[in-house]
Amino acid sequence: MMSETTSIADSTTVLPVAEPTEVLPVVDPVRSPAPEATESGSRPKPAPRRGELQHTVTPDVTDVVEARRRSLRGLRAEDVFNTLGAAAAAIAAGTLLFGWIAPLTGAVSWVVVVFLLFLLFYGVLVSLSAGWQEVKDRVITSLFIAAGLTLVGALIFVVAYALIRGQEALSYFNFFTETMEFAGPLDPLDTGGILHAIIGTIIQIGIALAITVPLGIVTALYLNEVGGKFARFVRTIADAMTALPSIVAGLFIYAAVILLITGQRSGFAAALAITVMMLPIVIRAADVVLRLVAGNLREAAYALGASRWRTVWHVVLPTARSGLVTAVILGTARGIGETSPVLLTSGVTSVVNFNPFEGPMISLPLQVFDFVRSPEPNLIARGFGAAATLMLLVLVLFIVARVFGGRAAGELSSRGQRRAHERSKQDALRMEAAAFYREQRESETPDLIPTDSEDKR
Amino acid sequence: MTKKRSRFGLRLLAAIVLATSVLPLLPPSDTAEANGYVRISGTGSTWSQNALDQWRRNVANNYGITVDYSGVGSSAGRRDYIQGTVDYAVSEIPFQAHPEDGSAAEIPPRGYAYMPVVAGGTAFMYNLKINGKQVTNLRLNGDTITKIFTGVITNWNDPAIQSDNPGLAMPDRQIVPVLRSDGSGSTAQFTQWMSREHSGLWNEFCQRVGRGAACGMTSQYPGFGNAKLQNGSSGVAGYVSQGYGEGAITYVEYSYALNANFPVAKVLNHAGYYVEPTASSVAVALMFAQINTDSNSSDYLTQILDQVYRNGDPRSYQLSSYSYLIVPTEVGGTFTEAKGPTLATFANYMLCEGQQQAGRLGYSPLPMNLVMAGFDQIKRIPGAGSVGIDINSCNNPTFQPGDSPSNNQLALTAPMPAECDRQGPNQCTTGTAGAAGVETEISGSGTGGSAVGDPALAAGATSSSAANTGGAAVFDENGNLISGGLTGTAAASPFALPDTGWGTTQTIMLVAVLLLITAILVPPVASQQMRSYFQKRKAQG
Repeated sequence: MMSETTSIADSTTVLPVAEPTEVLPVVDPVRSPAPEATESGSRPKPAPRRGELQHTVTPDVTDVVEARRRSLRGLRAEDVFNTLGAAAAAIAAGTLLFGWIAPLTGAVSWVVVVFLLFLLFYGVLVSLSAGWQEVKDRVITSLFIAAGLTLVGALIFVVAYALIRGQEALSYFNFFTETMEFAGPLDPLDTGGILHAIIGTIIQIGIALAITVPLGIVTALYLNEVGGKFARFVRTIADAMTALPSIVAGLFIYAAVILLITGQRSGFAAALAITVMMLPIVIRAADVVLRLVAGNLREAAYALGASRWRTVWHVVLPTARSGLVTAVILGTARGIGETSPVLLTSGVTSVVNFNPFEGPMISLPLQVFDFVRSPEPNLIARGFGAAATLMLLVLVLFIVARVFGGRAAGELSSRGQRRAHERSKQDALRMEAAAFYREQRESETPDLIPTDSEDKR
Repeated sequence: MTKKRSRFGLRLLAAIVLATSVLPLLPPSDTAEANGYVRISGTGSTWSQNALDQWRRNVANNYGITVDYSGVGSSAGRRDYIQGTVDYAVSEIPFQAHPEDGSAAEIPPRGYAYMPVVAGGTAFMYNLKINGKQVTNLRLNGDTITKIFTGVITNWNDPAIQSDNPGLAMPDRQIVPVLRSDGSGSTAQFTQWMSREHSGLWNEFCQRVGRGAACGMTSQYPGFGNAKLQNGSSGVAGYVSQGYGEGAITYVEYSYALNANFPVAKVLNHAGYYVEPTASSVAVALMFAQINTDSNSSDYLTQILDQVYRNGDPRSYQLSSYSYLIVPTEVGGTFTEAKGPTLATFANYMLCEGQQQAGRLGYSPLPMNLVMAGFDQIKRIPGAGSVGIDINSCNNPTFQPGDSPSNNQLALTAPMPAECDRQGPNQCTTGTAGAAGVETEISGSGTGGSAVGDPALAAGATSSSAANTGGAAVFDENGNLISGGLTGTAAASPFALPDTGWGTTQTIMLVAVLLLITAILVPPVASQQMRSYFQKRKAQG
C-alpha cells in the first residue's frame, strides 16, 4: 500500500510538468524493484534537452485536504451487531420452540431451525438500515459462509472423531512399536500394536509410487509433448480409469496376478492393485499441470537447438515441478487409503513381513477394517487408533513431499544453490583454462586458428 | 555437469538393483522357523474371526507358530480353498453343490475334511422400551421368531409375543427386523433352523419373496416389508443399539450383544424353558449334534443338527451351530507336506486348549462328541502323524480324562434354567447378555423372579424376594394391581398415543409458532415505520 501511494505521487509530480518526452527515469518501485536498486546509483541522469526543466518539482500539499480512505473489507460495528443480535434471537427463539411450543426434538433439527430463524432475523435487521439489494446480498453471503462452515465442520468432525476414539489406543507407546503377533482380541491395549501395518503400508505405497510416478509422468508427457490421435485415445482411457470402482481393480489383480502368476496373496499384488487406482489420477493431474507450461518456453528451447528430450528434461519438467508433486500427492492420497483393492490381494497377517513377494502383508486401511468389524471394544479402539495413525502418516508424507518438491521452478535449496555455485565456479575455471590455452596456441601458431575451429566442427 | 548427473543416476540404479537382489535374502518370513513350524495362512468366516484371532495369538506365544487368518467371509474362504491360495479355510456351511447365486458347483480339486472348530448360538438382539425403560428379559418361542423374521408378525403387542411375555405389557410399536445385507454364516445358520423347524412358514415366505417353493437354507437373507438390511455383524448390532433402533430386532453373534450392552431374547426349547444362548446352553445343545458318516453322501462329514433343535434337555439353546475348519487331506496349492505338522498342531490346539477361551469370546466350547470327530479329521492331514493327538491329554473345558460323550463334565455341571424361565405365568426379571445387570420391572402380570443364583443380583431383585415370600400379586390386563402382597409398589400400564397425522393440535401449534415469530419481528419493523412517519409529520408541520 505504502509503495503504491508513493509511486502515484511520483508520477503525478512529473507528468504535468513537461512534454511526454521529458519524463525523467522514474522507476515504478512496485513493478520492478530490482532495477531501481541497481540503477539508482550507477546510471547517469539523462541530460535535459532544452534546459527548461532541471529538477523534479514537488507540489505543495500542505493545504490539500485528504479524503478519508474507505475501508472496503473491514467490519462495520453495525454488521457485528446485526449478526450477533440475529444469532442471539435465533438461538433464544429456537430453544423456545423446542422446549415449549412446537413438538420438535433432536440436536440436528435444532441447528437447522435456529439457522433458518437466524436468516430471517438477520434479513429483517439488515432491512432496517439498508435497501432490498443489500438484504439479498447479506443473506446470500451468510448462506455461503454457512456452507463453508458446514464443510469445514464435517472435515473437523471426521478427523476429531477418529482422534478422540483412537486416543485410548494412541496413548500407549507400544501401539506403534509392536505387532499384533502376540496380541489377540482379549488382550489389553498395553500389548500389541500396528507396526506391521505401518511397515506394510509404507512398502506397498513405495512399490506403487515406484511404478506410478515414472509411468504416470511419462504418459502425461506423451499426451502433451507428442499428442496425436492415439494420445487422445489414451487420455480417454485414463479418464475412464479414474471412475473405476476400486473393488474392480482388486478383482483384476486377483484374477490376473494372484490366480495366474503368484498363486498367493502378497504385498506386491496389493501394490499393483493400488497402482491401478493411482495411475489415472497421476496421469490426469500431471497432464493438466504440463499443459500449463507456457508454450514460448518450449519454443525458446527448440529455438536454441535443444532436442525434444532436452526440452522436456530441462524446461518442461522443472517448470511444472511443483504441480507434478501435487499430482503425485493426489495419487498417493488416493492409493494410501484404499481398502477394497487391498482386501482381495494383500491378505491379513499379524506379523511384520518385509518381503512383498511372499506371504500376506497387511496395510493400515485393511487393518482398520479388520479391527473395527470385531465385537471386542479393545480391537475397535485399536481400529480407531490405526485410522488416526493413517491420517497422521498421510499428513507427514504430504509435508515431506511439499518440503522437498513444492518449490517453484528455478528456486533452489541451499544445497542446490551451493551445487549451482560450484558448477559455475568450475565453468569459470574451465573457460579461463580454455582461454589460456587458446592464447598460448595463438601465440605459438597464429595462422592455424581458423582451421582449428573448423576441425572442431 | 551432465556427467555428474548421469553418474548419480547410475548410482541410484545400482542401489535399486542391489536392493531388489538383496530382498529375497532377507529373513524369509514363511520358510521353516526355528522350531520346525512353517507359517500357514487361511481365510474364511467373519463369524469365527474373533476366536481364530485369539488362537492365532496363543499359538504364536506358546508354540512360536505364525498363523495368518483373514476374515473375508465363508464363501470367499471356500473359493480360496478351491483355488489353492490358502492352506485352510473356515466356513459355516459346506461346499455348495448348487450355489445360490447360480455359479458353478464348488468342487475342490484337492482332498479336504470338515472339522468342527467354533461353536456358538444365533442370538436375537433387540431394542425395546416400555415406558421409556429398556426391556431386558424378552422371551420368544421359535414359531414367533420365524413369524417376526418372515413379516407375519409386525407389531410388538402381537398376542403371540404377549403370551410369551406375561410379565411385560408389550407396547404398540412396529417391529423392525434387521437383516444382514451381505452373505453371511449367521444368516445361513438362522435360515437353516427356520427351514427345518418351521418349514411351513419359511416356505411360504420363500414363495412370497420370489425365491421359489422351498428355498431352504440361504446365506443371503431376502429383504421384505419393514425389514432393514445392514452390512456385517457390527452393522446390524449397531443399527439395533442406536436410538432410532427402538423396536428393532436382529440375529447376530452373542458377543456383539454382550459388547454393545444390549439384551438378547430367550428362546423356548423343547423342554419348555426359555434359554439364553450362553456358552453352556449352546454346548449342551451341541452334545446332540450328529455328523454325517456316509462317505457316499455329498454332505459327508457335515453336521446334522435336527437333534440340536429338538432335544429335550431343559438347558439347551435351540439355535446352536458350529463352523467348520476345512483342512486339506492332500498336498496341493500352497499347502505342502511340511505345513502338515503345523496345521495339525494348530487344529489340535483349537479343539482342546483353545476352547477354554471360547466363553470369554462370546462363543461356546465344543462338547466331547465334536472334539472326537475333529480328532479323526486331524489325523487325515498329510504329515500330521508326528503330532501326538490324544483325547486324554486334551484340555477342553467340557470334559476330563476318562469321560465319554454321553457322560462328561459338561453334562454333569451345566446349570439348570431358573424356575421363572419355564413357560408359564411368571417371567424372570433378570436381564440378559450385555444388559445382564439391568432388571426389567414387571409391567404385565406374574411374579417375576431372578434367573441368576448370584446373591448380589438376587438381593437387588425385589421382585424375586416378593416371589419367595409368596405374595401373589395379581394384576389385571392393564397392569393394575388387583390384589397381592406388593403393597407400595406402583404398577403402571403403558399406553400409546394414537398417531393421527395432521389435526387440530398440529394446526394450533403451527399458529403458535407463527405468532411467536410475528411477536419477535413486529416491534423492530413497526418502530422503524413509526419513526419515519413521525419524522415526516415533523417535517411537514
